[in-house]
Amino acid sequence: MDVRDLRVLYRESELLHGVSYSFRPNAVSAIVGPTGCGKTTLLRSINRLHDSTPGMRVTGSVTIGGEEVYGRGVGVRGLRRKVGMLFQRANPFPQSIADNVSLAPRAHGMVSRHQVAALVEQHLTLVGLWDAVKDRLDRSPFHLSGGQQQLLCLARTLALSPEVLLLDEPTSALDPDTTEHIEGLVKQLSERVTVLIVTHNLAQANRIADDVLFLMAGSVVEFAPAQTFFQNPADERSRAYITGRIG
Amino acid sequence: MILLRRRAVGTPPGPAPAPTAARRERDTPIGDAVTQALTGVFGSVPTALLVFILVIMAVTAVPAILFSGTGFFGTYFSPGNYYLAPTVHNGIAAPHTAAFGFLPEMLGTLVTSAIALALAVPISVGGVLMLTEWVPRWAQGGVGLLLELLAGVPSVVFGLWGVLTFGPFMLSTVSPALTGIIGGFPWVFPWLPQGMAWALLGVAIAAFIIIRASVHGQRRRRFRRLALVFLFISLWGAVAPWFTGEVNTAGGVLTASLVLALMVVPIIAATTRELVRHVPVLAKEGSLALGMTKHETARVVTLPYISTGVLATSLLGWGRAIGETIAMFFIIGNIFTGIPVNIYHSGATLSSLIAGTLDAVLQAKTDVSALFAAGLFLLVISLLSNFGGRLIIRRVAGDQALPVGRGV
Repeated sequence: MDVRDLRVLYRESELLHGVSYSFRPNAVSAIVGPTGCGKTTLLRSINRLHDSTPGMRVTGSVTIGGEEVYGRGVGVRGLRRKVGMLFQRANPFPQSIADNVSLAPRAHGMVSRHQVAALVEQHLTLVGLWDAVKDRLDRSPFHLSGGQQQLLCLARTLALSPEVLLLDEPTSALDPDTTEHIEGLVKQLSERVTVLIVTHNLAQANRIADDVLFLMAGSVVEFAPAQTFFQNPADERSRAYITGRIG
Repeated sequence: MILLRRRAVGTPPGPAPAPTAARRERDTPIGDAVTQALTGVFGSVPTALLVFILVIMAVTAVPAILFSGTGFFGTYFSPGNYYLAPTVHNGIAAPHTAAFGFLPEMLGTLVTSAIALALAVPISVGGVLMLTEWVPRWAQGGVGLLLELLAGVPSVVFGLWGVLTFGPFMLSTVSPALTGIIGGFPWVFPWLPQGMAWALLGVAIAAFIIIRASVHGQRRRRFRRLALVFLFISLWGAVAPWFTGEVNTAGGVLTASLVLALMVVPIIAATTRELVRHVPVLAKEGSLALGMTKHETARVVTLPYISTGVLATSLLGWGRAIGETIAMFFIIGNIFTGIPVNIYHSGATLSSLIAGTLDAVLQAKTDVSALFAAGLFLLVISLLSNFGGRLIIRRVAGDQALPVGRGV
């Protein structure tokens, strides 16, 4: 997955000043940096979530598997099928737990009616939620705990068999146990999926990332394998960030 | 009030030393007490007024109720003849051959408001969704302004328009077409007599409630679909006959219902617009990020989020529709010819009856009392709808269902 000279403008101000890098496929890349440096903006430009925000303009190129995301005639619908996303806070649909998982695959015509139940079970099992919810699949998800809701959202995303997974601080509102569980899942998933995770938590980046992209004020400071980044960063600013002198 | 005051005057929390009587005095600042008294008085004024009105109406209505008994649910209303000897019944004297049967007016009120709501709710919700999701932002303000202006049109203007412009148009074009189309399909359910259809409707509604309470899982969807089919068939069988037959007036029940719908739309739409605006962006993005379209997002996320609120505002709109007087008086008039044979017929609502009759019967105490009884019935319906609405909302928002603006 390649990003070339990506610029994002909101009205008059430029949020990303020409970001370029290549993500390794089937690896976890963490995007770190101080608040407001454009981490989430970068993430959201990959699945074109800026499209629906008036005043947002994106220039440059993002290619996934050689295909231009911002190309003419690219269907946003198909793109977002391939590029799943998990948000800072859980946002399950106000529908039943089972429907949360199956609605999107049904909308994309990926499952027939008879396969729905199996699909739901498969993906809820995948995220380790099946035993907790199997008796209340037709209930509202809002009675689940925050962590369970986030897992449900992950199951919902995975049900579309995405090739890329965008995680926007998915554990920032969760307890340590669930965080650990989700980190394990992400690590496991990265064998099949390219994962981009925005995180504030450097320890988390250290635990799960293969590569680290360090952003400051809308520009890339350093992009390096995680080990290199944490132990021997090339840039002085990276060193300052890791040691907590800036943040 | 008394309860409130006691709680407020009690000892403050915390490990304070046991206060003497004098200290306790000082613990309650005088300003608090004054504010509490004032807000208490002002706060209880509306409740007191409501109770006062209810009591006065009930007391005034007693003679007519005694006079008619169950005759209130009769189909004939007449103030009676003032020049002949009064009729005495149950010890109450009323003008000669007076009869206070309100059934046509009760039905008129319920039917016009029901048709109005059945049209206004989907129009409002659909219109608002279209407005917020598809109309460009710069145009939204303009359309919203028009909507608010519509809410500000005095009902007398709606009445004039309805009786002079819209009514004749209905008479010449819409009603004949409608009765032609619906009457042209008698073969749809010829085997289903209307009475049976009503019974079936009851069964279908009961089935919905039972399914909701007892069936879970994947089977529920299938059962619900079945119940929905039954609901549709019985609803059609029960209601369709009323939409057939001759068209006899410009100011029929249907005309009144449509004008009423127009008057209710701004109320429901304005609230729905606020509701839609408050659906969390995060919730919608969750759907968009899965590649769902705007339309799917509206159906899957926005509609469930606003449903309870829409229910509440619909009941509010219903209250307005029930009470609406002057436009109804203009359009549907005040015809005491029993229950209309179809919805193209003229009829009366409780409010149009009161408005149209009061002036003529002021000298006859029992006639006035009968109008108060009609008003009492109106008041009780709107109070019941209000309480019922609250109950539904609490039930819906309480346990199973999907809350408004909660969870995300």
